[in-house]
Amino acid sequence: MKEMEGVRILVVDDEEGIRRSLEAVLEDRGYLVDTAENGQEAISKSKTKFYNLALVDIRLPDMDGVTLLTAMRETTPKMVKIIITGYPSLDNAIAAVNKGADGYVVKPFTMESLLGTIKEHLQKQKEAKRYSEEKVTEYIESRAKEQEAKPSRRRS
Amino acid sequence: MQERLFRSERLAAIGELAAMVGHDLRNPLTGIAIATYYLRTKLGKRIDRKSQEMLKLIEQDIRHSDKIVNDLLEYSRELQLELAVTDAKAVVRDALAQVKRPKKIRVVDSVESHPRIVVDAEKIDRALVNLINNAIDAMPNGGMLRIAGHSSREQLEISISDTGEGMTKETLEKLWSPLFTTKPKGIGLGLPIAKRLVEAHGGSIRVESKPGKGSKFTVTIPIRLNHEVREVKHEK
Repeated sequence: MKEMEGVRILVVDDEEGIRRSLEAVLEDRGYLVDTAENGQEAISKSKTKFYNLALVDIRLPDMDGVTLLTAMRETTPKMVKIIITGYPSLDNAIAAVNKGADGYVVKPFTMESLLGTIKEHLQKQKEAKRYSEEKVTEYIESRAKEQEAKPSRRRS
Repeated sequence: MQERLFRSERLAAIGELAAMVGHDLRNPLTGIAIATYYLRTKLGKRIDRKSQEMLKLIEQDIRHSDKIVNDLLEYSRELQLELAVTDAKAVVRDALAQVKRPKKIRVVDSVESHPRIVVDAEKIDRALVNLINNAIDAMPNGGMLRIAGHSSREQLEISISDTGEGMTKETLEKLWSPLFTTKPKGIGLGLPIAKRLVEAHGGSIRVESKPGKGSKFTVTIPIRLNHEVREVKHEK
């Protein structure tokens, strides 16, 4: 459960049954979950709070999921975005990935496969974060060494 | 002629309605499936046997409803082929892996890996799964399911034979009509879907059947050459 601690997920779906059941399962797995029933609500929530991952239905009442992805790519570039599509066609999936989705899940899906997809993407996000932190540390250390190596002007 | 036209218009309207109903049912079904998963994982073995049985029943009916929705959507969706090179043996093996085979049915698969074919494997799989399921359903008391392959330079034939109930002349006449079924749990789209998928490849399905003896469905698929495949892909 520890690896899910503090991990925030936003579920965006206009179907109440899907929002509430996904929220229950994900919270039971230790995730912190918020829900949004349309695109506008999702955008405003993602502006005020950081989410590690968003599950976005491709059909929303006020905008389609792909448009929402484009909007959220600008405001929350680091959030993992997974699209949930009811149309099992490769074209929809490719369009979604081109517009900023990190992955997609096709309805009907099993919860095991969805949980697996979520875990896999969060792991990648964690590794990317660790890598960028290592790069920053490396840069600071090398700059510090360069400074130390420079002869002091005052002494000369 | 006019009656046939009326019937085809009626079927087109049913197809459109079916697609809408399919889309609309998908969401509540997903909600039910996730909620059931929650109950199963949360309650686990703490619930009594009867409640376990009820959960299992809900899961079974969700799968059944999903299949109906898939069939409705599959039948009304515009087809786009994603062609790739494969062989008959691989396609039949994948199709067999997707069906539930009762123990009292013996399966003899003599399909060979030659020749190589260029098809949308997922769609041909789906057509074969529907035909195999149809053969299994025709043998409620057990029997033999035989899958054989035969090829010439131009085409590949895969035949699926059962030793089941067979069909009457009346049933054979309506066999490919959407929504016609003789099964208590079917909605009559399995065979029309199989036909549609095979015909999308330029192929056909023919059937021979004798009441009390069994039925044989033969799928014929043209063997495409590389340049023909490029042309098909270009047309898309």
